[in-house]
Amino acid sequence: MQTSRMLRKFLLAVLVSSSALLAQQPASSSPDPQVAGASSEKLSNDPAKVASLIGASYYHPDELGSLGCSVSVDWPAFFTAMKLTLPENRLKSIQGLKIQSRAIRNKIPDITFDWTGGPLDNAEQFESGIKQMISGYYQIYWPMVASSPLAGPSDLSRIDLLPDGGATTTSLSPNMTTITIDRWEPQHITQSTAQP
Amino acid sequence: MKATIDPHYAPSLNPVSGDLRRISSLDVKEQIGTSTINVRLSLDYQEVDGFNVPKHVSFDLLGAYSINMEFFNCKTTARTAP
Repeated sequence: MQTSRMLRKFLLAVLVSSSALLAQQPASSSPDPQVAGASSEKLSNDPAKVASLIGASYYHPDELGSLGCSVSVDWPAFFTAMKLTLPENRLKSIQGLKIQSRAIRNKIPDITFDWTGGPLDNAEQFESGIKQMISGYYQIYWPMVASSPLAGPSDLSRIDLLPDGGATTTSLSPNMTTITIDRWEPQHITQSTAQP
Repeated sequence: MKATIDPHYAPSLNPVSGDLRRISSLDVKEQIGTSTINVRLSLDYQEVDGFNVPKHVSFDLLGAYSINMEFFNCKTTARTAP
């Protein structure tokens, strides 16, 4: 998992998108144990058992291969948060923008644009920022939400049982990953990487 | 560099037998040198072709801004066996 890099990429994309807008701005401007996956038993230090419990503790659609969607962005909320006031014509263009994304698991998504309200003069720059933003989201979605955090027991190099019935596990992923779990699900994931 | 991720879970809005909880948010904290970035990614879900996939996605850079996206008219394909 390379969440750190994904996170920075996403943040950068949002800043690129907002920069594209600013360039045109006028100067004035807790777990429920009753559901499936929950287990009342304490964890053991059996890697197969721990990996199985982690895998069954929450929904992650490993069978999902691709996802294609229309995407809309709540621009008014974003502009308000960024303290931006857009000229009427730019706002109309942006609000008329239709975005389509097609994301294949672990690949760069294909994102297309249809400027139904007429394109911005710097549409290319704006599209580039949105592409990076949506791509950054999918780079978090596929490994963190749509996949089990462990491929299997062999991912676990160490299991330390905790007094409360949970455990801390350490995996052998490329970025050293530690997952703290209670009896039901991963609670805290720490990744350390030597890469700056 | 060190990143920590705290997942949070929520039950399905219409749970059926065997239904698993979903990740409802991820709190990500990244430390680079003396700087720390705190981000929360929040999700809710819709069912498409038997898969539960994100519908609303909110990305909050805490203390700075948030951006909200909606995914709709979705289509899915299942993974093919390798």
